[in-house]
Amino acid sequence: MHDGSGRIVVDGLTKSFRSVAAVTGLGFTVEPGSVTGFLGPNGSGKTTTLRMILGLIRPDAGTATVNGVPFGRLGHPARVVGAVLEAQGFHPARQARSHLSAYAAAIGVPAQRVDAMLELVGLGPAAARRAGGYSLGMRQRLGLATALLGDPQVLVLDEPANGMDPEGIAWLRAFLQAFARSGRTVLVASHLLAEIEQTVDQVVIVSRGACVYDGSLEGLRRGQRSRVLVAPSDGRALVAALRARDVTDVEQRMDGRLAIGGPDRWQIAHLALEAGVALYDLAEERVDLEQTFLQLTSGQYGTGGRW
Amino acid sequence: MTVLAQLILAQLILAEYRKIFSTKLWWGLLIPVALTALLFNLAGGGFANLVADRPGGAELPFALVTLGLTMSFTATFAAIFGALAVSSEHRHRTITTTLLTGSSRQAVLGAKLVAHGSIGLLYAVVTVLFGALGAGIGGGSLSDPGTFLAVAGHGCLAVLLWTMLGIGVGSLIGNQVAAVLTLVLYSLIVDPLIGGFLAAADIPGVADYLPDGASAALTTDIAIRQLAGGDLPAELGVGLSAFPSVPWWVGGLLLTGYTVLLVGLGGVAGVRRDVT
Repeated sequence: MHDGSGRIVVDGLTKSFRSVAAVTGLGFTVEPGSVTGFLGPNGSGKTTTLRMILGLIRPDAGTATVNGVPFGRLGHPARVVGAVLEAQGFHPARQARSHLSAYAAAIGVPAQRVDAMLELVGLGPAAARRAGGYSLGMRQRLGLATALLGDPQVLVLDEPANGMDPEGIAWLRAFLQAFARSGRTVLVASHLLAEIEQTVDQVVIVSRGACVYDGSLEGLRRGQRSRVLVAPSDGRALVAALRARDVTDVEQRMDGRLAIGGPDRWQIAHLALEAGVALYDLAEERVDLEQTFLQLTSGQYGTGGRW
Repeated sequence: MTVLAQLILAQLILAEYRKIFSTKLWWGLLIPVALTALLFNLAGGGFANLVADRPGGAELPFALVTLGLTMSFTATFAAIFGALAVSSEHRHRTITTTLLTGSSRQAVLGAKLVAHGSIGLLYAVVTVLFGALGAGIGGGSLSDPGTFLAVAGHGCLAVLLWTMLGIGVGSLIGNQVAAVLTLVLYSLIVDPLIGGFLAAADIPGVADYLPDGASAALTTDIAIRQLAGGDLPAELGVGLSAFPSVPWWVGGLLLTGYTVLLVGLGGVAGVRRDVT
């Protein structure tokens, strides 16, 4: 039986479809009590990874466990893990309530649970409507209601904000945070950092099927090297002066300014003075998390070349 | 099986029933089944009546044969119903939710075999009832109760097996359209072609051992024997050679074998399939 920890552990997970490698040696841990974002561009292997955690796809190598055991050995899986995945559907002719009733029976929860979940996600008035007539946002809500039927300890969501209106997204954000605060586990996959930046505490970033960052969102912000942006009267002279002090992290930006990593603003101002270079602008570069994300996932930052 | 496993299986079976009864498919397929049983046996009963009215004509159980033949028709619909059990879940992508709420893929398939199999059995029972009704209206004899119940029972077994065979095919193929087409095209084209080739190659009788032949033997053997044992006019006796020559229990065993094989293959394919 499982250990009830609510922890998701992914270790050395590898999967190829035909000859295309989707995930290669991916490893990370998702802890209970916080919302973990699972970030990466489209095609980076997020959905494949989630489906391997949920036992829907067999990995070529590596393991994924929930509560210490593979999904297939949980016994009552829906009471441990609830999932809202992208390619998860509904029979178009089946009423939302009937859909939930069928899965409530499979999980072994009473009928009252169905109505409670419909109310929770705000589908109470639409319960007798056929799922085929639902909007994308309503389908996401119905998917969430289905995932929550078994009162799971772990919630896994793939791009849950797709098709949701701003009000729905705000509601979902508050719901997921409250869910995590109660000591449970939330893993949310998204290709947009901005979409989940306000929701998550931890992030796992994948690029081309491999993990490039695993830690707190704060750590990601802090880990970004801070640079100083300057607009010198003579760029070559300033770079030469910097080189003389072993400062080589210099980048020419599109706007003509130099981005310098290493010394702080005062040191650079002094250096410029000694080198006889006038500085028309001197500022700390603002750390943009989105750019950090792009840098991690594509390995390319900025459009200018290095000096 | 442990008590817990039995409880989980019971939950999954209830879930399958709720899925079945929340769409129109089950009664949409039941309508042609009931109508065909009624009309075909009405014709069978009427024909028996015509033969009996001839000078020197005897009361012959033609309706028993038409009931057996109707069961083959019902079996086709039941097999399609079975094939949709798994494949329509792939089609509508509900399979993900089904697997996420089931204890194992084997348990899900087992629940479908029980729930959908029982609906197939319902089709067979409706066929018997409407068939008897049609034969009665037509005025034909259904022989003695024992023989009638034997024909009805064999028909029910054949329909049940075909439903499960369909579930196996649906699980094996996965794609809804391909699964249904495979079943229909096999019965309409492939099975007769193989039988024809084998007969042409001087290997006659092999067709009786293919799924369709085995099924026909199971559903019509008793009725044909009853008919042939009666005072059959010579010009009608010739037609009997078109029916399978193997006994019903051989047909039943063969059909069971084919069903076990396809359910097994479907089970293995279902467990291995990546659900993307």
